[in-house]
Amino acid sequence: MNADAIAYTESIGHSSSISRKSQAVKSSGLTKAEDTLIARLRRGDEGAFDELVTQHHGTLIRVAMGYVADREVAEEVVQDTWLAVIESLNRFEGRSSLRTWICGILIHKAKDRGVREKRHTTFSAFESFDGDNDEAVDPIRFQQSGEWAGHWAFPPQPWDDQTPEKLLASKQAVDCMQQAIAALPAILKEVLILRDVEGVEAKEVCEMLNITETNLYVRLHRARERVRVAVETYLEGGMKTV
Amino acid sequence: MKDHPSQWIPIGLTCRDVAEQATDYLENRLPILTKIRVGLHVASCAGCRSYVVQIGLVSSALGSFPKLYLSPVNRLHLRQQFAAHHTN
Repeated sequence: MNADAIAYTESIGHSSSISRKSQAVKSSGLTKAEDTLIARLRRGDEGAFDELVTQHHGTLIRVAMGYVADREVAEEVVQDTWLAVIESLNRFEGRSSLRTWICGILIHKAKDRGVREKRHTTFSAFESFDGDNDEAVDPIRFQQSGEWAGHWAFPPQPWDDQTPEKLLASKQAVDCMQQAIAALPAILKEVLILRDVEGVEAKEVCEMLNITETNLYVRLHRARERVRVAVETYLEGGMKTV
Repeated sequence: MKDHPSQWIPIGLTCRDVAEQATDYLENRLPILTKIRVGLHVASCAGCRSYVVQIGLVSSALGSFPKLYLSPVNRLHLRQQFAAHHTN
C-alpha cells in the first residue's frame, strides 16, 4: 500500500466504509515506517532508539519549555519522558502516532512539574485568558467610530525587504521573537510551538492538546499576532534609531 | 479616507474583520466566498496587505528556528537506560 493510501486510512479513523485491506493497516494506526521503528525498539535495537530521540527530542524540549520555567527543568522533564517511553513501549497500542503518544506523556509530565514547582503560568493562564473571545489585534489600532469604523487607524507599516531569512539573521530579532514566545500564556504558546516552530500538522496538534481545529487556529492567530507586534516594535525601534 | 481603496468594491468587510481572519486566510481555511472577499479587500488595502504578509512572515520565520539537540552526555545516559531495560 502506498503512502497516500496509508495516510488516507489513518485520516478516516474509525469510518465503517474502509476496506478490509485498509483495516489491516489501520489496526495499528501507524505508518509503515513507525511500525518498523517500533518493532526494532521492542527488539532492543539501540540504533532505533537513537533515531527516535533524534527525531523528537528538540520538539519535546520546546514543548516542555511552554510549561516550565527554564531550559534546565525542561531537559529534566524530557529525560523523564524518555524513561517513561522506554518503560511503556510494550504497552503502546498505536492508536495515535508515536509522536502524539510521546508528546502526550511529555505534556502531562511538564504540566505536573510546572504545578509542583509553582514556576509556571499554565493554569493561571487557562483561567485568565479568554482566548476564544478576545480579539487578536489591539482594537485601538482601528477607527472606533464614524464612516470608517473598523478600518485601520494605525495600519502596520510595510516591512520593506524583510524575509524570514533576514529576520533570523538578526540576533536581536530572534531574541525579541523568543521573548515574545516566552511571554505568551501557555495555551497560546503550546499551539505556536507545535504548529509553527515544530511544524506539526494541525490535526495532530489538536489530538495532542485535545482541542478543536477552530480553537487551534483562534489561538494560533493570537499567538502569531503577539510575536508580530514584538517584531514590529523591534523594527520600528530600529528604524527610529537610524 | 473617503477614497479608501478597500471601499471601491462593496465587499462588506472592515480591516478589523480581515485582520481577525488573517491566519484562516493564509491557511486556506475560509469558505470560498469569504476567501474571495478577503482577497479583494487585501488586494485593495495596503494596511491589510502588510498585516497579512507580516503574519505569514512571522510564521515562516518561526518554522526556521534552529533545531534543539540533545547533549551527548544525556544521549549516552538515555541509551544506557534503554539498553538496561532490554537486558532485564
